[in-house]
Amino acid sequence: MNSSNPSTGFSGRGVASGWQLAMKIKYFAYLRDTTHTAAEHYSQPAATIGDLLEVLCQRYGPGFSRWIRTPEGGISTIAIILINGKDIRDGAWVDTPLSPEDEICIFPPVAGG
Amino acid sequence: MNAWTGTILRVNLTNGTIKKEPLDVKAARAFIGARGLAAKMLFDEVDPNIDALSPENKLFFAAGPLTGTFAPNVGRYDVVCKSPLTGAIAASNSGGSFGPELKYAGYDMIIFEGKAPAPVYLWIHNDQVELRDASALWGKEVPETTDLLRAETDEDAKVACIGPAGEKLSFIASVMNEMGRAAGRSGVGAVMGSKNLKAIAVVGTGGVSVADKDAFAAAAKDAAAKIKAHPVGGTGLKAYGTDVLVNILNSVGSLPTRNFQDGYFPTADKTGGEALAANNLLRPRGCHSCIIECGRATKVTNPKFAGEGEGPEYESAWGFGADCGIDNLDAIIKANFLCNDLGLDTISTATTIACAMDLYEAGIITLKDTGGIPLNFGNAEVMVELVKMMGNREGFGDKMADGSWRLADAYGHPEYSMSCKKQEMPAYDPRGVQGIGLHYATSNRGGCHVRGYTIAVEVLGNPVKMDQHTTEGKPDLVITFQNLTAALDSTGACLFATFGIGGDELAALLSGATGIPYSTADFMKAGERIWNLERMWNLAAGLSSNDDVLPERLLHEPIKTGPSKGEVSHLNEMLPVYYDLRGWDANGVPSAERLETLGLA
Repeated sequence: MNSSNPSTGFSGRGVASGWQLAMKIKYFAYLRDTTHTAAEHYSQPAATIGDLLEVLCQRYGPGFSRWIRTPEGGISTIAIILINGKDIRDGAWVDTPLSPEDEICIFPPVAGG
Repeated sequence: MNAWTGTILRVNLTNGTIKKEPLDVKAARAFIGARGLAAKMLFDEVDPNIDALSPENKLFFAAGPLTGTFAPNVGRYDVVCKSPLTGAIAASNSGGSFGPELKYAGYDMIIFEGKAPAPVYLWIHNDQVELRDASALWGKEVPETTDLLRAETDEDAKVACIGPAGEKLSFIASVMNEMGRAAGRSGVGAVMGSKNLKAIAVVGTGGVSVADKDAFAAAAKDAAAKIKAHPVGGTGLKAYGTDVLVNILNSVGSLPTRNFQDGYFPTADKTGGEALAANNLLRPRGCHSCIIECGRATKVTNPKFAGEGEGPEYESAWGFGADCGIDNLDAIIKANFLCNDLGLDTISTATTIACAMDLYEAGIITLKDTGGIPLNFGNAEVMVELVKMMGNREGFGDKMADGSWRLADAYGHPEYSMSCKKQEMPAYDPRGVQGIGLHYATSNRGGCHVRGYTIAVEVLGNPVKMDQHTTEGKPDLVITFQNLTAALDSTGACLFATFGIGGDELAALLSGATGIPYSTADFMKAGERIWNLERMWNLAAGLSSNDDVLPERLLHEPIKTGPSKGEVSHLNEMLPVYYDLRGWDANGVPSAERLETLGLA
């Protein structure tokens, strides 16, 4: 059975969504303040990472999008967005295609040393 | 003088004499201060072939020209000497308020020579400088030493001292200031201990003048605005500390795990900055003039590992965590507190424990060697106990107290030491991030990340992004970061200021403060000059291109799991290009022409 919410495509708290393939999305740092979860699954179609980020910004609102978007509305170049551990800035950026089995990690701009 | 105080203290511990000397202005202009100027003086005064723990070694405590000014994030000083761990030049950099206080007392630098016949400490109160008996302090840990010295001198005194590890000449002993700030790397605490110098306490009531107040104020305001406006410098580091990197490095498959056997640790999230902020953080803490506040005041209530103190930084959380196969954050924090109290470098301590666990699981060392202590990866209780044993040189801890290379070599397997030039590497796997491996191999103080932090570009994408897995362009990137950091360290600025400002802003600050017009090119050239001077001293000490290497494991054993699975370091492709771009020959020796260009001929 599919445990995801059919209207949104999200299934929460890291629980896999039955037989239907679903991307795993992992959130870090400030983003968890808004998502209230470290990971969830998403089973609706999203052709590119740009499409998915648009969905996430809509779903979680300004508390999420402020870390991911630039003031001009684009995607921040210092947010760290990984698909299966590969940084989208090293590839096709927001046009990077997604597959249902992908794992996506999203970090706001943070650093250390 | 402006920016520099113009005065150096020279303390001969053998005969107890204290002299005040004028700063060499020409050298200060060329080598800036702190790391650079102390390296220049070490180069001029210390035979590179001496025993690092002999009285012939000299120990420099050096602030920079910006240290103590009101520019943002300029509270640092360097401890410079020959390293007992590497045999190379040591320059360990620390924050807090000790460096500024030294400037306010009227000194750019203290040089310690010789060896005191009995334990002493140096008490500086502006012009009054005296050596005092420290017999009652010998054997005491860092917090008690600091408290006793404040009670004996001045409650506002800034104290830099060693703990039991430095007294017992551990090659990985740190110098601690204000209890929780560390000049951690390369065993500078052992050199202090070898001189019977327990501590320095300083109170200064003066200030630091600048040459052009308007220009300096404008440069400081500009720098502060840029740091605050940057998402990392302005908010990120304060909220999560540097430990936020655990999840980032793990997610790109470059978090060294179980002594670099792997690059991915499935339960790393339990040890990251998010978990630390949620469970243990009391408040962020900043150094002098800091507007970032990456420091962590933390508390553990779990009775098994209870305590309160400072840390962990990312490197410490990784070292006592993933590198030891441990995901118990309480134990990790406790190990960090113990390192602070005993005066041990967290990176080398943790990585030496990981090495011991690796040797144990490989059957190279046994329960007979360890005194009956099982050293399996993942054993948090044993890990914490080993820190205590290392700091006090007790039992098997005595064999571990000189770092992983000596430990592994003693059992005939130095290849188990994850070190460069015998100094333990930090928390970025060179198989997953190519440029940082080239930096580790070529760093003048051995395995170290802060002398050439290419992670900013290769992983964080800050200020630009390069693919972490490619080698193209990495030698040039490494050189740029090494030169920039050499110059930055020499000003007294914090590396994290570069999450907001760069060479342009630092040159403007330096120009306004000193009155000497440093262009950005002048600033970068000073960094290159310092790097080459350190290299020349190391070559004279007997190091060579044979030491610009990584452990065999990283060249031939691919990462086993995670996003960087299958990757190895391609150091040998990058190194010749690096030498060539540096203007060095195929053996890594700077050419006469390049030295001439840098004023080092």
